[in-house]
Amino acid sequence: MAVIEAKNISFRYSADTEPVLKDVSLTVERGEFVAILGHNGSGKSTFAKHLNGICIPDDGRLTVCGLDVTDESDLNAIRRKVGMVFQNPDNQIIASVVEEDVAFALENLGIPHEEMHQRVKEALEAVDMSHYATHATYKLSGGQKQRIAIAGILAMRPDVLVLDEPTAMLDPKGRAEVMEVLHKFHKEGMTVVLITHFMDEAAQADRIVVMNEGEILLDGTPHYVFQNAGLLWSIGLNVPQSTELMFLLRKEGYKVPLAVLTEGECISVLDDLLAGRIGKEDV
Amino acid sequence: MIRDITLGQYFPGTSFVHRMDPRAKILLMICYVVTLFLAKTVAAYLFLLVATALVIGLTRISLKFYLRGLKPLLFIMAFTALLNMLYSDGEPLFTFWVFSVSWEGILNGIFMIVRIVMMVLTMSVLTYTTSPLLLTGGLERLMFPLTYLRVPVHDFAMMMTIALRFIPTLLEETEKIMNAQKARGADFESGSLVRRAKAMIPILIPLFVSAFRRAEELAVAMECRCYDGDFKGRTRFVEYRFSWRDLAALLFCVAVLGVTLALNPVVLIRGVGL
Repeated sequence: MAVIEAKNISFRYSADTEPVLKDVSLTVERGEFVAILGHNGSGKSTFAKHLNGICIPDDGRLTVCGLDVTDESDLNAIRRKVGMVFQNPDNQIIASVVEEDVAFALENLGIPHEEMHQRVKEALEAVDMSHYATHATYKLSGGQKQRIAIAGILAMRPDVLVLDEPTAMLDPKGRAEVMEVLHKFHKEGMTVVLITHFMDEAAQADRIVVMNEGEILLDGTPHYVFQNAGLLWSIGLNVPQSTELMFLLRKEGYKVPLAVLTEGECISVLDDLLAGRIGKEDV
Repeated sequence: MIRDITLGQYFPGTSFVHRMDPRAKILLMICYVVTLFLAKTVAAYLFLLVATALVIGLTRISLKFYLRGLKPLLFIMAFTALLNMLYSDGEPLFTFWVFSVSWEGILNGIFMIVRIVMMVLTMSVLTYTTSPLLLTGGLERLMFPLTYLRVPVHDFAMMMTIALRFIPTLLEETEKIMNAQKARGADFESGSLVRRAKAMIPILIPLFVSAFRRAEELAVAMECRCYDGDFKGRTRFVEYRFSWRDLAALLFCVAVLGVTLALNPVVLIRGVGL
């Protein structure tokens, strides 16, 4: 079942500027983990902002969880189904105490007191931050703050989690923490849409959608997308280092597979190569 | 360095006073201050001093923090006491120039000092034992009737909550900007007052720009969490409940008020001071 169905949506911020989205069509199935990849200005963040009605498409149709986003009468209904996490954790935490921040959405929704406490507890457990429930939010690390922001969204029990470059401002440790949490939710059946410009993060998704200048350029499994390294390079994107290495080896004539995404895969290929199991053809 | 600044002096703790309902604390603080103003005799003042000392003892916060809070008020206290001393009626003890000092005047001056000291101490008890968040929450609940007069109490409380949340963030940012400007040769420490004030401009402008950007992002993030400024049907994570502590404190305040009035027979009979 499709949770997100975008049909030919277009959007421009004001009438005299270039459209940011041009005729974008995309369907996301329930339980998918989709990464949307693109450089700055590719329209990936703008697309994300359409998913819970922060931006309303000028043209086209967008339904999320069966609700029409262009119907502005009930944006809160859409927003509780599509949770949105942003780049800067500092700018999305509202309260000074962790558990009070996680409860913010629930307060707005008028959830009864008992249930609210239960949900906050569960959300904090889900992001592994239970120990910090009564801590001050400003004293946490970047990764911890971002997990709190995710917990605040999770407490609404959304069907879809949309994250707009959630790791861009974090150190490697914080990035790993956030990605781990996302994988866990995905395993539990949550639909995850991750906007990113980190290749290694995108490589961890089920499916990658590459955007460029407001259009969808590539759409497929990570193996499929990274096989098109040339195309990615041409629009200023990189491929994971392992993929790049395979590309360079190919150029030298070694018959290595192209779609190598992780370090593990890369090591096993290099092993085969050094043992002479992979041949070389004349260039 | 800059992050060490604590706003609204709060000392975390688990004492009797810390654990009271913030609403009760605010209301009883007001009652107590009123009681302080009703005292007219030496006996009443002595009694109130003992009572105030008892309350301070209950907070389990070192007396030196309270005394530190009094320091900035020394001048005002001295000035008020002097005025009271010089402008009181009564038999003059001695006179100089146009002033005459009477026994009543000296006593009034002393009373005034003691009264201000106790007032400041009482308010310190409230702010030292109540986190700014609880204080805001307590005030919001107490001001609730004002919403019927269309005073946007909830909006003010939300603004306060967000302001409190962003104080450390903005302080951190100020420090970053200062360091960045120092690295470019800015000098904030030397020169005249005007020069130093001017040197602050390159700090304030980036700080404001970034604060506005933060505000915009925060607004979107709040909307994403279904905030629409409508407080009808909103529920709360923190609910305040009156406990036996608050009842005990209420009884204490009533007792203090009663004893103070009882020690004021002169006032009741003659209707004048002393």
